[in-house]
Amino acid sequence: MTGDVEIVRYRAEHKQEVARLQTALWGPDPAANARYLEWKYEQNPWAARPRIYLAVRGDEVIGMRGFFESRWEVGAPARCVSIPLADDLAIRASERNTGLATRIMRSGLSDLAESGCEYVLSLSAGMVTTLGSLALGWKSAVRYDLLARRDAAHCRRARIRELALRLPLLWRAAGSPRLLSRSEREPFHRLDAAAPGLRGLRVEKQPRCAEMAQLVAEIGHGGRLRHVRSAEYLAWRFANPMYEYRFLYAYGPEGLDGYLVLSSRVMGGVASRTCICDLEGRSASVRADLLEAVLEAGDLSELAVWASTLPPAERAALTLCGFAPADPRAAARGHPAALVRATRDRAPSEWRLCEQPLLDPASWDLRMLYSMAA
Amino acid sequence: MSLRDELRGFLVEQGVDLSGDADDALDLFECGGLDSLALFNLVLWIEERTGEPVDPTQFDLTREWASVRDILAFVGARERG
Repeated sequence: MTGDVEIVRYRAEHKQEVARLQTALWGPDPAANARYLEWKYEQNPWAARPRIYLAVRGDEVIGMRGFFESRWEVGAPARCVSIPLADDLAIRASERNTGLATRIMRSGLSDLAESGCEYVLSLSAGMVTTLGSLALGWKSAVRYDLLARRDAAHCRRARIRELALRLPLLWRAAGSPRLLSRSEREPFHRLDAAAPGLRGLRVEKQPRCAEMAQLVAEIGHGGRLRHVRSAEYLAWRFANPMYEYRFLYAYGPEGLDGYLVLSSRVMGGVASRTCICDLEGRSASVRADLLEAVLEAGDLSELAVWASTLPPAERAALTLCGFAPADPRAAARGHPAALVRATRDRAPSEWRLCEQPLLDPASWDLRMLYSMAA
Repeated sequence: MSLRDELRGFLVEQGVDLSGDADDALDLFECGGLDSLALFNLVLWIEERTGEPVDPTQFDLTREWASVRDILAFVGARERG
């Protein structure tokens, strides 16, 4: 029953309840969930106040949908726009299938429209959330074309885990760390060991935010929609407690020529793939050097990247390096993808920012960095 | 069992209230019966019957899957290719 439920905006006193609710999403530790919540919503460089909509019955938080602030640049010369990113949808198990998620979302969209937001984005939705979103008028803007490069040992272990999940007595063992190789438990150990002499590149655990932001600004872009990558944003983004990162830097005589950022999930005790979170360079050869160095020295059991908005030559290079569709079944269902929705009633064909049609994949320059998937 | 009966049985299993005089034109989204998990299971159900993947981003599912009648028409169109 949802009749006695109120939809309210998050306040600090809700934090522990919300962190408990989020354990269904991000792992069993409420303290880790609270840190993640604080980072994403309270420490966000652009948010004056966390924009999380809660379903509350009495004193209990029974559902939530979060939107965190993001800034995008579009057009040439670039214009900066704020677009809230939808994330963190959680409904208490006993309250599911009651229309609560729809009610929270409708209330949130109404509040966002009143506060002047024209559009909302969702960059990290799973298949189930994607379907719920489509039912509420969201549209798919860009498919990510998730590509992955996997070594043979990784594929064998994945098959063993899949088999164990189907067996009555062994399913608990499927998540056992014993089934993980060292490359899965500590994905960066080879890269760290190779760091001192890696093709003249620097491999570091910390971001050089000011230099990275300066490089991004100097390279410029053709006006496609892309996230603002200021030093302030990067410093916040790489403080994400859910992931650990490695940064490869290519320096030339004038300073930073390129960088590649790898991410691997550490929160929640799940083995995750390593992802190319961002790759930037003054030339295609700088970007190729960075990628080759990772492939050569990283010895990563699984490395994934979003390829849909890459230039065709770079996409072809990834294929030559052994990257292939990560999940063809999901891809055939149009997943994963960036979803967009106008906050007010407007025909999808009219969804535009600075004349860029939001439902045209050619309007976007998307990187995993912008999402919470890495 | 007819495809219609199979579909209605499946939807009831998903928590959709098709009791009483709920006919095949009942709007499944308006009545709040189809939540996101039920939609995912419906994707699998249709894929199983048609043998083809369903990409829900390529059509308006609030229209094409609005009612039992609409879903049956969707499956029928897929089967006819």
